[in-house]
Amino acid sequence: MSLALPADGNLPIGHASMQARSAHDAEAALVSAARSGNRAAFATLYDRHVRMVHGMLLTRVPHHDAADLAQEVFLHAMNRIETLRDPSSFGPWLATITRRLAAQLHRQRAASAKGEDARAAPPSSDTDAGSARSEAIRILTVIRSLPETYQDTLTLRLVEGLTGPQIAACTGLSHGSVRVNLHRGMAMLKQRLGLADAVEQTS
Amino acid sequence: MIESQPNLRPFDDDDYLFSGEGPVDATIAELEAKLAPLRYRPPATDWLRAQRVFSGSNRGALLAAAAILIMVTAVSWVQVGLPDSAAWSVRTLAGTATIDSADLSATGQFAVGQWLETGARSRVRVDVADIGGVTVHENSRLRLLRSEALREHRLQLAQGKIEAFIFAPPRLFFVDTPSAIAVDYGCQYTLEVDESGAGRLEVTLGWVSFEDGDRRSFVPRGAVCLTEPEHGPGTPFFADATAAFREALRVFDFEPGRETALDVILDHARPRDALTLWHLLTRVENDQIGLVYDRLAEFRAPPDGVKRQGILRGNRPMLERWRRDLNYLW
Repeated sequence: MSLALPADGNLPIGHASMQARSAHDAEAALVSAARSGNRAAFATLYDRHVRMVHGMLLTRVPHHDAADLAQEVFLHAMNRIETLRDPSSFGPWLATITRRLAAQLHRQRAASAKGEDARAAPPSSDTDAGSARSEAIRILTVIRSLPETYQDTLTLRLVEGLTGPQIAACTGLSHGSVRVNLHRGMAMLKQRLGLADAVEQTS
Repeated sequence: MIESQPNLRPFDDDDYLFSGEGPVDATIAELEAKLAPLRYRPPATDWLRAQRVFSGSNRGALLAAAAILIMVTAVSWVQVGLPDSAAWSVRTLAGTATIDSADLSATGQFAVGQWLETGARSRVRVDVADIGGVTVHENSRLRLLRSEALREHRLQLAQGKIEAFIFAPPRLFFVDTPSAIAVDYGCQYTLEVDESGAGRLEVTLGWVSFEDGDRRSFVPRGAVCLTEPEHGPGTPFFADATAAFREALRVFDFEPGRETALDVILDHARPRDALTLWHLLTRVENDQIGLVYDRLAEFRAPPDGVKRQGILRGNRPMLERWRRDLNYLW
C-alpha cells in the first residue's frame, strides 16, 4: 500500500485503519504488561487515560472531587485489571469504572445527607465570585445541563483538550459518533450560553 | 449518516472542533481558555507518577521534584530478583537523621535489620524497593525487617509517624506496630505510634487491614482506626463521625463501660457509620448483636441471603456478603 498522501490531503482509509490498529495493539500490549505486574506499563496507561477519567468525572461529581476520585478510579482498575477480558478495551472498561465510582460517590453523599435527593443536588458552587475558576464552573454547569450524550465529549474536548480522534480512542466510540456529539453538543452549548452564531441564528 | 439539522452547517473533515487543527474557531478557543482552570493537573500526591519514578525511569528527576505524600500500606510488591538483604534508598528532607546511630547525609541506604531514627526537626523519605515510598516524620524510630521480591516487604514502626504510598498488590507490604500490623490493600495512609505503643491509622486512599491475630479492622478511605497495647486494633470509624460517637467508640474499644458506650454509639450512628456497626456485629456480647443488627438494617436492609438469625450466630459468609453490600455507604 502506498503511503504517499493523495492530492486532497486525506489519508487513505486503509492507512488510517492501520494506524488505529497499531495503536490498538500497542495499548493491548501495555495492558498485558500491566497485568503481569509491570508498574511502568500501568503508569503509561495512567498517563494516556487520566484526562478521560478526569473529564468524565467533571460531568458527574463536584469539580473539586474529580482529581481525587480519578486517582481512586485507577487504584480500582489496578486492583482489578486481571478481570479485564479484552486488553484492547482498557479505555471503555476504565470509563465504566469511572461511571460506577461516580455513581457510588453520589449514593454515599445522598446517604450521608440523610435522604436528600442526590439527583437534585447541584454541583458545588464556587464562592470565589469573579474569578476565572468561577467562570469555568459556570460554563461547566451549562455543559452538565446538556443531554448526557454530549456532556462527556464536550468536556473531554473543551476542558481536557483531547481531540476527536483521541476521544474516540479512549472511549471506544467511533469517530463519526464523536464528531456528531461534538457538533450537536457545541451548537446546543452555544445556544444556552447565548453564543449562537449570527449565521445560525438567522438561517 | 449525519442527520440534517436546522441551523447546523455540514461538518468539515478537519474542522477545529473535531481535530483541533485547521483555522481556529474563535468561539471554541475562547471556551477552551475559559474552561482551562478545570483541566486535569497532576496533584502533588500523584502516586502513579511516583510509581513511574520508583520504577526507575525518572528516578533522578523525581527525587529532585516536589514532595510526594505517600502512605504506608501493607501490600508488598517485592521487586523480582531483589535479595533479602537489599537496601532501600533514603533521602533527607530536613534536619539530621541516623541509621544505626550513624548520621545520615543527604542520601543513604537503609538495609534490613537497621534502625532509622529521626530527631525533633528531621524528616526523611525512604524508597520502598520500587513499589512506593515512606515519609518518616520527626521523632520516629523505624526498622526494616524484610525486603524480599514477590514475597514481603516489612517495616517496624516502634514510635513516631510515617506517611506512605505503596503501589502493589494486596498483602505484600506490612508495617508492624507494638499493638497491630498494618496490611496494605493498595492505598495511602498515615500511621502514628506513641511512647506507650498506642497507635492511630488514617487512610486517605484505598484500604488497609489493621490486624492483631484474628482481630481485623478493615479501614477504607476517610476512616481511622486506633490501636492500643493489650487490646489490639479498635473498631474503625470515619473521621467525620460525631464527637460523641467517636468518644463512645473509644470507650467501647479500650475502657470499661462497653454496654453504656454501645448505646451512645447506636444513638449517634449515621448511615455512613455502617462501617463501624458492621465491625461491631462481631465485637459485642451475644445478647447485643441484635441491637447492632437492627440499627444497621435501618440504614440498609441486608441483601438477599443474609438472615438475622445467621448474623446473630456469626455466620461468616453472611457477614461478608453484607459488608460488600454496605460498601456503597462508605
